[in-house]
Amino acid sequence: MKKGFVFIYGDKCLACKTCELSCAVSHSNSKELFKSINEMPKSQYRINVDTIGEFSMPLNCRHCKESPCLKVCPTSALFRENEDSPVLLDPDKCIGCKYCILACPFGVIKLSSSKKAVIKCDLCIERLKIDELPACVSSCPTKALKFKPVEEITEIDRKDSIEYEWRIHSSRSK
Amino acid sequence: MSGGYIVVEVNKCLACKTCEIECAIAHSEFKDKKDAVFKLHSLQHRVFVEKMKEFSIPLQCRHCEDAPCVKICPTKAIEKREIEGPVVINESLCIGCKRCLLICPFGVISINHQSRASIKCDLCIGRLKEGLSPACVSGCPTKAIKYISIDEYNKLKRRRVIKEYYERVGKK
Amino acid sequence: MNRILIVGGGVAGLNAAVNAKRKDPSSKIIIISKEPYNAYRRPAIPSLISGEITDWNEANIFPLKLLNNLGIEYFSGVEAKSIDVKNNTVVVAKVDTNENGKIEYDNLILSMGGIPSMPKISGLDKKGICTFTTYDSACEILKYSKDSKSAVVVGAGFIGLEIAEALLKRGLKVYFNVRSRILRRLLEPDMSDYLIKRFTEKGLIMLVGESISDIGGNSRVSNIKYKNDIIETDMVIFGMGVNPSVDIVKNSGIELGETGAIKVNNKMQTNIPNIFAVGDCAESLDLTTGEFVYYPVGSIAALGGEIAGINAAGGNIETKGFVRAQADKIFGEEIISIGHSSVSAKEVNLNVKVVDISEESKKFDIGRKYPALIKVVLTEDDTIVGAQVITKKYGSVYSYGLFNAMLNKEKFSNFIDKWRISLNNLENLTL
Repeated sequence: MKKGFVFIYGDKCLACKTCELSCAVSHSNSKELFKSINEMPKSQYRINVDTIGEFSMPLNCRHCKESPCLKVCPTSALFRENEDSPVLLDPDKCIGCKYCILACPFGVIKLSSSKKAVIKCDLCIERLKIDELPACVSSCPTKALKFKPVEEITEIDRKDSIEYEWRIHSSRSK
Repeated sequence: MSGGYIVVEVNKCLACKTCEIECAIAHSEFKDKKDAVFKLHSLQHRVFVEKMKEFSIPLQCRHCEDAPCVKICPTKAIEKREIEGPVVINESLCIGCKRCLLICPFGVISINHQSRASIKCDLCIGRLKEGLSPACVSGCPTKAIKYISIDEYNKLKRRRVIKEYYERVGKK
Repeated sequence: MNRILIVGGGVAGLNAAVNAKRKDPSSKIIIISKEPYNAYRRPAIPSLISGEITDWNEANIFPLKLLNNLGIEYFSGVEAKSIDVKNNTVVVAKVDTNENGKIEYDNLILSMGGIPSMPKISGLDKKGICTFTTYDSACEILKYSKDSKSAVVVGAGFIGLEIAEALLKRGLKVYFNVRSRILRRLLEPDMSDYLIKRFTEKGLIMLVGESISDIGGNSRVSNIKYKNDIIETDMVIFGMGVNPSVDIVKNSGIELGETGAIKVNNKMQTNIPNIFAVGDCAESLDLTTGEFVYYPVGSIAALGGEIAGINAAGGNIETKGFVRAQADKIFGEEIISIGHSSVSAKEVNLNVKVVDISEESKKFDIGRKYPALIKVVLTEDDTIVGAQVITKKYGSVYSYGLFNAMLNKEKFSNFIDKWRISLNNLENLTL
């Protein structure tokens, strides 16, 4: 089981959107590109690439230590096992009130097109369980997305990635 | 205007309660403040401004995707027709049993003083049909309440994150 | 073609009709209703008395146009006189002319509702003695209130309290009489005490502890006797609950249950397979205990109506039972009562204990701003079977979680550790 978080190095992003594609495929039933595009309902990507002028960046759930989404969820649909685990969503408990969407500073929670719930990055927990990297990390051609095991997160990682402004994983740095 | 959602920003709310007044007037038979002033006691707003210690917040129906009120209504008087669409109470099927009122996780369903049907924010669907934004949105002086699609709202947030990152890191 | 006759045009009958049509669009559905009006929202009766509405039309529900578009016929002012179970016919009469007729059915749904309970005291025939379960009786209250200086309301259910509030607003002196305490079956004793204090502050004069024993006056009420006092009053309104309206059922072959209401199974069927009974005239199934009880509550009537309608139309659905859930706002206090109270639990031989979690609600932002009185009713094995909330605002943020916990038969210790509500940490809702 891999334990860690995905760090984002926006200056390496080409806006190729491979991460969006591989995110959707890895959350589909077939896990294969050409089969998944015909699936009903179609799988959704949970990472989003946005571009402002010449600047682009992929953004997925930061699995914040003090996650505001978790704090405002009225049904405990959003939960985590401990501060080193990802913030996960149980769609059966979710009533789709969208308070988490309002609370998320990153705008990375969206509405599910198939369930009456929201949908967000789960850090590819099923892949982590079998020691595989999250799909977006594996597929990014420029390594704009890196998976850092918990013990290895350093001050430099924080400075170079978006975590700096947000101090999300600050207490894990050495 | 369609496919929108009412978002609130607590750091912009002044607790002026303009949204409450605009909401009440928009749902009354007087569409004009001047006439409404004489019947203030009969007006009912469906948005509620709460002044907490360090912030204020307007509270209204969240138009939940899997709304508890829709599920609990014995006569199916409450309906949600589409994703990100409004949850609407059909008054002619409402028997006034208040089951929806006691199941709302946000406490934003109330009782119409006259007809004793249940009432709540309806996303001003009447105004939306005329191309107007919801009354609370157009009345808010600080734009603490906005009518915006979830996609657009998320994009706004993500773009701000990108901007701040690149301002720090500098150009490539 | 399935001919479905529905006796009684209240919410049970109406919801049965609509659901029957949905199940079998080819069925022929007739509703007959004794009252001379189209269907109206009964909780709006206090609005009539306060003057906020002046006509039943302002509280019309399931309008005639809607029913007719669905192919449902609604005849107001028509009363069922007797049921011929063997020949599948009901004898009916027009209330105003007494013209008789017979209606044949393939399936019959009985939803006659309830009749106001009255005490066994003398003087009930005097003018100024009122009840409030129908629009006509509410008009009587309005009429008498116009020349009354004071009124006595007997019995403390939600509607009685709302009417007391309405009369107080009209400027009458209002006495409120309860034999034991307010909302006895819905709330725990100290919750009743709290409300008595609040209502007294708002001007209601509480006469608590004994029923009124005598009604005095000539042709019009002029006083009542409470304990050893004679209290002058111009009208007495009885809201002591309802008894099932089952006159036409007696001697028909349709069985009554132990409660005196029509006996039904979990399909809302009586002992006669093609006859169903729902609402205040029938028993209903309690989800928590699996017992058949008498719950004259509007939402339960409508829920039962749905089941009866579907089954009368050829469906075969069983209900696991209903959960009582009631709420109201009176004199600025939000009152919510769901599931069993200690009183209703006793009536079905359920051993319960009551836990007060009012202090726990203060861990939430909204609970600190608006203090709430919250009780949870538990069985001996810690399962949540009921809850009550009294607060100024947003009471349902608590009852939402408690109601779901009840449906999931959650244990209290599990619930209280994970208890969350929506109106907490809201400072996070910002761009």
